Amino acid sequence: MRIAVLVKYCVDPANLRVSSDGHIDVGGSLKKISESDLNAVEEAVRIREVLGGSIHLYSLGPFEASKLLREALALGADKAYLVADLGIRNPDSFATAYILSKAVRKQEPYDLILAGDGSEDNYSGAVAIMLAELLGVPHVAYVIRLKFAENTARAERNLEEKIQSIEFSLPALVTVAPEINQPRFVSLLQVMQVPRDALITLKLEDLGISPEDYDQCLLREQVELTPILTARKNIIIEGDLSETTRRLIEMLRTAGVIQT
Amino acid sequence: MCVESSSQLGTLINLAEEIGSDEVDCIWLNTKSAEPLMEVQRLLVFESPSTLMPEDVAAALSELVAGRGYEVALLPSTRNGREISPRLAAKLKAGYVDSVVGIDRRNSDILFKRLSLGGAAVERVRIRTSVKVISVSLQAKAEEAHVVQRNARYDHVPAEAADLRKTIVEEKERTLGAGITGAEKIVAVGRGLKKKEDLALIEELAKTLGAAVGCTRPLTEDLKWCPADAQIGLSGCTIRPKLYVGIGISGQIQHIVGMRDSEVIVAINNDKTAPIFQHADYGIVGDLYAIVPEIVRQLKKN
Repeated sequence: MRIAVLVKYCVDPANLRVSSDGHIDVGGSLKKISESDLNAVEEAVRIREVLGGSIHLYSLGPFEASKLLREALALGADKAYLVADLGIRNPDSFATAYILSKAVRKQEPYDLILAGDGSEDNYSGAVAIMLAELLGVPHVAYVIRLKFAENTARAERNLEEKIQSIEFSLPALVTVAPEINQPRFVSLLQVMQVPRDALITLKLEDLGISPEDYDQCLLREQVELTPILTARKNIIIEGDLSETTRRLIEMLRTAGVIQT
Repeated sequence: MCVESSSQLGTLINLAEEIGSDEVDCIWLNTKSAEPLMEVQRLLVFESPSTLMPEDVAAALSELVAGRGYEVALLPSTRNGREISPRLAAKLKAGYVDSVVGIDRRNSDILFKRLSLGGAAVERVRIRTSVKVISVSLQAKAEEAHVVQRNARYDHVPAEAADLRKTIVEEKERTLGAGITGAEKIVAVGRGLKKKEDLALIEELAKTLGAAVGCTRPLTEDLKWCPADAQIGLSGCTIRPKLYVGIGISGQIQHIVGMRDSEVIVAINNDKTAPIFQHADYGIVGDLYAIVPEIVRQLKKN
């Protein structure tokens, strides 16, 4: 089975850098590969263990993303295509899906395209589904179990109020939820052993996308990004066990949130 | 404007009015029969002999938007809505913003507000295209909708089910309880808990306080110690209790998003650098296995 996996190089929301004037320094904040995309890579590796085939990763990001993509490759993927181009500025979900569609088209056909069900920073879940639309394939989203038989696949989807089982045939695009698996641990040595040529960087030009094409794919723009600041008392109660507990209860009574 | 149930109507109508729409048609997204909606002028119901998948609904909607010249398509930001909207937007090559919580006006522009960076920030987004696709967050503070009796006219619109080679073979309803969304007090627990049996400790505190028990994502999704409807955060529920007590919770932003509107926040954690303390009114740094029983003991003594 030929599998493509979309992986997002994103800001780690748990490690944001906020400047002294209250602005979020997105560029200077720590980056990571979005968690559920790693679940998608892991799922691809598990499928290949049973059915054989190949796994190609696709990502859009700056050149620095290659370091983290090597870590994703070390999970067991064969190749990673990173579309990195200085002309790609602030891509929105449609522009990202459009560029990825061109990149995926170059290496077609794929039986299965996998992705996480939403990135850790934005959780829109839009890029994968837009890509399915642009490639003209059906999608199956929020998948927590995936099984393959003869010519069909069966997926269990978490729709919150119900679990839905769906049978579908390939090619298709599947987005997975984090509970589908636990990505395997990758050692530094395994990352170092990833062949140098496993990572291929592509420019917009390589995909036949002109600067004008790119500009026309930008359908939205972020105008402002403001951190949500919480004004809290931030009182740390110190002392021995019975003393801290007594003071906590007293403070909660004063605040009027407990009566007893 | 598209809805799946009458309960979503208020939030969507409010946003439509904020945007300043003079004519709002409502489209029933469910394949199940439409509930009577009195608050809209016109209700469109898809007519199809077979089950419509999100791909089919997106195709039918894109024809409606193009055919009737709608400028804005509002959908609920549910799982279903978030499957349909990106497809619809890509078909129309229309700008799409998901999980919109409100709008701002800047000069002649409408800026759509949504949470970003895992909920740590609000972004304001301008859409460059004249047709706009918006999925509307239902987590936003529910305000009373302007319910005006309009006696909706029902129109049936055709929709086709394409051969997607995709079949629903089984659906298991999950018995999600009433959940904890409305509880006045909530005791929440995270990975600081060592084993499932220790939940008894947390439950004892909850009982003493008259609180419901909530948890972080790993406790439902990875460890399966707690029911899914107890999960607080970005992928769970949003709570606004009078009192929130977080025990053994480090305070990942994905959890904080779901509890930061609580009136009073208490955090108990053995790591004094845990981010949850920045979001707490009162914190105790220490071993939950010592502190929780002590709180119970002192509360009971009184």
